[in-house]
Amino acid sequence: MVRARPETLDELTARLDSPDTGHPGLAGLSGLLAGEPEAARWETHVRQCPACQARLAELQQEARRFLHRQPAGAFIQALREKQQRDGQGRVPAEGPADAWSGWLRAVAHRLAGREGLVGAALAGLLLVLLAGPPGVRPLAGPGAIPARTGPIPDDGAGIRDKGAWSLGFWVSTAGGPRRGEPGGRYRAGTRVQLAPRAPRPAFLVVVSLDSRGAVSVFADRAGQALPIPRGGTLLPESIVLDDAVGPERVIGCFADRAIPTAAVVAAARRALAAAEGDVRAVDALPIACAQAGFTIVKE
Amino acid sequence: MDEARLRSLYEQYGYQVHARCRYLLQDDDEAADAVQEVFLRAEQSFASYAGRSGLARWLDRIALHHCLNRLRAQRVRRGRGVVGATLLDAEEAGQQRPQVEVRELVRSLLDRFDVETQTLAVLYFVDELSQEEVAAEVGLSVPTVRKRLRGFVEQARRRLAS
Repeated sequence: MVRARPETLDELTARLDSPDTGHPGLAGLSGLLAGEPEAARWETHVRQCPACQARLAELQQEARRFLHRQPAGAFIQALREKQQRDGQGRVPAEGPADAWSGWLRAVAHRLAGREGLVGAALAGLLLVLLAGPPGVRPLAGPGAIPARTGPIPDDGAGIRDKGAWSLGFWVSTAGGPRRGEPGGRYRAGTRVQLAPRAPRPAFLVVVSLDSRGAVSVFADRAGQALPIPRGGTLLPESIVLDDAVGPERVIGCFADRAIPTAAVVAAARRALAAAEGDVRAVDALPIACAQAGFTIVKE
Repeated sequence: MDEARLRSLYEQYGYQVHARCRYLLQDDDEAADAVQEVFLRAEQSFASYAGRSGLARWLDRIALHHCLNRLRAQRVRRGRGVVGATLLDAEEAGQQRPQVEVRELVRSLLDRFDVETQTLAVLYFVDELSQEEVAAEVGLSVPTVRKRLRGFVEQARRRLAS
């Protein structure tokens, strides 16, 4: 709910009705501060206007404080580290293994185009290297764990196979996003972004079970499972961890059709009841879908 | 862009970009990450910067679009939402100046509008550009800008009345 003083709304209307205040706006003052040629037209006014001088001085002070807190050297270093991290396969970007296999494929094509047995043999060898063995490429980063197994009654939701499905996560930190650690401790308010990985296109519902016995939906679409592509995906919406301290189990249910979210939530409640509220004891949800998840501890 | 140029760009405009991201995202971590993204994009596209507007406006445009996109993509799903929270705190504290209150009111209403209206509202009510400057910035006529801003205020009024 949005609340505001009536005067604030009047201020908005007044700005529309009398747009020309005769003073530089925030953009003009910021431009002046940065030495922008466009803002030079305000110099004379600001020299003669105590109100604008005060605003400019405040901006100047804030800018100085900002650079003191985040000096250019540290910022550029963090920027380069971020570039490196992103270059090393930030989900769902092409990872180094994919880049490597792409390079091998290009070389194989070039060799196959050569005349003679040596070229053909080398191309064949490279293609064999590309083909296997399965599982050489990491399925997901360190924040992910493979699909859980467990007794899963078939309620017709579809997918029953295990392995290759995973659910990782990223957390927001002062130094930028970092892969989340299963079992890690995170504070209330931490932003988490889920990173599922699927061996083929699927539909996903993610639920969390917390120590208060609550089941929350972390990912779905309008009451149904969210379609996700094959491979690694970073779900677009972030989740803010609430203040229910203790362990929290997050489980993704990957199905081959858009199952209702309510079915997964109901399964999570049944699992929690069966585990007598101990979220760590919940291994899998009693619903037919491939499952993967992780546990974190909120503090 | 060489390292020295990047450093000078950051020293000159880093605060402004950070202030923009912090204002829109309302989260220090998110803002810090967004500032990095903005400078990475600026670095990548600096060669195509035509110099039609000042560097401050150019960087601010990158930051504004990046943060509005980010806001759309990262709607808060749990806990106390972004919308209204800061305004509520400010109001409860009773210490905010009108300038700050206007900024907070505009921000709290942004997610009810399309990206173009969001951009207009931020440029006009927050950055305090003139209507002519806003029109030039977004490539619309001044009457259209005025009409859209009036629509923003009207909807804000209805929203607050309910």
